[in-house]
Amino acid sequence: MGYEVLVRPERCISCYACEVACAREHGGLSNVWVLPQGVPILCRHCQNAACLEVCYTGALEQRDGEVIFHREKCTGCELCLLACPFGAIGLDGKRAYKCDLCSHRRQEGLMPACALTCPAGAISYSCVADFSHRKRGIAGLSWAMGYERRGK
Amino acid sequence: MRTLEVAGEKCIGCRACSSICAPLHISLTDVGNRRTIAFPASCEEDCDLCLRACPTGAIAFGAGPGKPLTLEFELIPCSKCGKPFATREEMAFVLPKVSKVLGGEPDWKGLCPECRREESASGLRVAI
Repeated sequence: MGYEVLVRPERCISCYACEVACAREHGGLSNVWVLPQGVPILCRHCQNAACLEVCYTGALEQRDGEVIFHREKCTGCELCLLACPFGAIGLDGKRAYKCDLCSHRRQEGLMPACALTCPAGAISYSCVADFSHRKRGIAGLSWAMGYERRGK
Repeated sequence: MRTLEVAGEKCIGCRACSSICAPLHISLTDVGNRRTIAFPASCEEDCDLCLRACPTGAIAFGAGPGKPLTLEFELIPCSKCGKPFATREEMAFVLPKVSKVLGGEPDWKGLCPECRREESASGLRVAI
């Protein structure tokens, strides 16, 4: 099963460590935005991606469940920014930029920098089955300990 | 002389041609809620990047005398923060395609990218 960057917003402590780590990995420009509410927003690599539909040069491409961005094909038209429902694409001067799931790190067998850095476990790099298994475990444990609901 | 022939009615006022033009012959300026794109009359560079970059095919090359063209667009304000973020024509170009993928007109269509980030964060906070 494919690995993805999965977010548990209830664990986010708004420390901005993911933003800093992402900026370090991507030449000073972060592809993650931590909102004051305490939610990291990054590209969700949608299956039905709206950005892919408006990109007419092939700069955005879907492969193995990822939306890959090719900077050299980008014209800087900003149409993908206007199409993204989550505002997860940024404009770097004259070209777009978005999360690439740290492709350079994964080539070396490392996980994306945001998931590695997050001290609160709000961002994880795992497959959906493992992720939900872990959440089920925590839900069961908190029920057994008498907590009504976590994350409030 | 190679003139630049721009079909003003096809242009949606996106940033493609002005971003791709390396010698900066095509200029784009956003002032307040107005976007101005200025095209030169002719271009002697050995290049056709703007023609290939245009999403609507509004740019063509021709011969003979041309004149500089300036197109003006109105930027629509974000329904939340009020910041002008896109031209009406850009949204008219993007929304049908987005609606096709998402299966219906999105409710965030009037929001600028920053406010969409904000809204999706708030939505997640409510969900947990």
